[in-house]
Amino acid sequence: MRRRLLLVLLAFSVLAVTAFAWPLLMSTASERTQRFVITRIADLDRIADVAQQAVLEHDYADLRAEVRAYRDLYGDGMIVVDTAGKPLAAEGLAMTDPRVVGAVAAALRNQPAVLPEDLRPWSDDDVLLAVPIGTDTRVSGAAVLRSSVDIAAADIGRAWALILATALAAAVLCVLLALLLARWVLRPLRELEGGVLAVAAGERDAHIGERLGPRELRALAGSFNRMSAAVTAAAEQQSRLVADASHELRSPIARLRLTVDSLNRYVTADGKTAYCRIVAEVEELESLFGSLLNLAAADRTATELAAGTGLADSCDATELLVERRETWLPAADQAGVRLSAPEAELPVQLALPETELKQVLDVAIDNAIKYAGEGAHVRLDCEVTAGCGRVAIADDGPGLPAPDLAVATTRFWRGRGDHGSTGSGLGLAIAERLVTARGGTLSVLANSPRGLVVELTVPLAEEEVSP
Amino acid sequence: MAAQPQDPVTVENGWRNALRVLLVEDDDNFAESVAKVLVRLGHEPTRVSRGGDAAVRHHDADVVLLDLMLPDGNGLDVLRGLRKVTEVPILVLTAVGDTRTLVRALHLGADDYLVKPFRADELLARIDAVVRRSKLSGQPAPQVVTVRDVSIDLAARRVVAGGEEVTLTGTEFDVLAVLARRRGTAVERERLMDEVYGDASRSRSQSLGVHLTSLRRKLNRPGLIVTLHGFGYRLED
Repeated sequence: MRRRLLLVLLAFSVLAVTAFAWPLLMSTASERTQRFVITRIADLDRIADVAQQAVLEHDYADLRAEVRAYRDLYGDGMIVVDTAGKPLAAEGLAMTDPRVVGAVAAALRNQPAVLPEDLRPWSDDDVLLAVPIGTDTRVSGAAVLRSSVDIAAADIGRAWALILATALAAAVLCVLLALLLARWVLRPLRELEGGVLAVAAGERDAHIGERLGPRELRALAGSFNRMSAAVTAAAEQQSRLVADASHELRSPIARLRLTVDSLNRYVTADGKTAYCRIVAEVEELESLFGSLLNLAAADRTATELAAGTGLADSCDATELLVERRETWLPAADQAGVRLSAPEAELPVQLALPETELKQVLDVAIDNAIKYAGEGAHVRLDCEVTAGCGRVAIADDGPGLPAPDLAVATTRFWRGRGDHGSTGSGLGLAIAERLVTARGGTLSVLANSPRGLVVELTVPLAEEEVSP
Repeated sequence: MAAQPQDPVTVENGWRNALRVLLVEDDDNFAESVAKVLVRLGHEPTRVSRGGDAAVRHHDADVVLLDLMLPDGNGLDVLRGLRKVTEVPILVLTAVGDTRTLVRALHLGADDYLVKPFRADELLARIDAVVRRSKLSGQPAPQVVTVRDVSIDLAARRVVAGGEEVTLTGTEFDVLAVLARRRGTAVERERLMDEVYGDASRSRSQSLGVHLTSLRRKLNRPGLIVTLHGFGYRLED
């Protein structure tokens, strides 16, 4: 926008300056040329009067003296001839010059003098002017003047230089004005853009200046600030609601759990099935509640990171994968799933805190064990590729249909045929939030030839300089 | 996590002595539920609802159960205050999703933690473990530490797992030995690095991870070395 605005403003100002300067240049040249011609014609007329007198009196001494004096004074050549073309007086011009002959012939025919074209600063061709001698009806000869244009051209040059300098100054002023105008309009827009980006990145209370730019933009900045404040207030309310609700829920659920546990010994064989169902329900409630708290924590972390106040930490993916495999082995054995250790030997140091990577891995491994089915093989691995760390949890189970892959990380999404499962539908959403907050990506992809891969790409931790 | 409902295991006969348990908890109903569970096992719970009271009552306790989310200020401050004056085992109760507070609690000297909601048998087992550990802590570490079917001979620097000798490198053994001397206790990562290498820089942290990974692979005893994420490690009891 800035380029276009400047382009338009500059084109306009150049056009305006040109439209002003061009006619001025032309009229200056034309006026000076006219003055030049008029003075020369007046001189010629006076010589013609002297020549008329000389022709009548047949005494050419005065005429010759006049012509010589004129040449000495101005350096211009002049010739005066009679009707037959015989020179009566000549200084610096001769009838051998064809231009002089032409001019004499025209003057003798009493044609009006041919005016020269407008002079330019660079003109240096001498101008030839001719007038008839005598009255209109009785022409008794012709006077021809060859005048140098140097002085007039130099005058025009000076005038043009002044005009051009003024025009240039005006153009520079226009450019400055255009730049100022562009800045005045664009700076509030740039601030607004920065503010919008900050809000999009989750920054709280992103405010921009309201005193810059045109009134309309100032009003817009004001509206933006009010919107930003409202968004911030809404986000705070939301997180407070989650925090309050979870704090309130925490204790009843914990009490429920303990009470259900203490019931155990009073349950008779008949009630055992129902009791186990209750325990299972409580566990599902616990797990959903835990997921909600984790999601709130992940959101909080993302907001803090966007605001630049989050913790920077790193962990070794290889170590964590080996450790998580150990933890999940009993569950995998129970489900008849083979859980293999990573092939990676070297550490893959990711810019992700250990507690967060653990949560992400747990979600992915838990899903793989739950849904890959008996006899499936779940592989854990990590590597360094293209400056990033890549962690993959891959299984060879039934996988997901293509449309589901794209939405698998949506909150509260559950797979088809997943009815009555204990999943909260929040696991992958939490995992994705955690990973993206750290500048990484989490994708759910189809494995080849079958199955599912949860793949994380996370920036590597910055190397510590060895002492 | 586990989909199958499990019968809560009651460990009623696992206790020889009644323990005096100080419960620092603001929620009356929850405190009552916990107290009931404890009384049923023959323990003597005392309940205070404010962190300030804990500082006064800890003398009469064998173990403290401290809720980190107390109304009168941060549970962490209460923990810090308690640790300045007493070595009594402290078990902190935290909420899911609050790993940061948990890790800080461990750094401040909490012996172990329970994430609300927890099962009754889990509570009893943890209380048992922290009390036992604290009783052992005064005594010198034995020459041979045996965990499950793994025996670690600290003097001879030999490890036998399931009757077969496991060949460890020098550093791997050092790491295992530090954990074995404090079996059942959480060992801070920095402390582990310091005892093994003599410094705790970040590059050392990476190399510690490599040794632990290789140690796990060689021992092949899942769950033997527990990672306390964001804090450190523990050799299981």
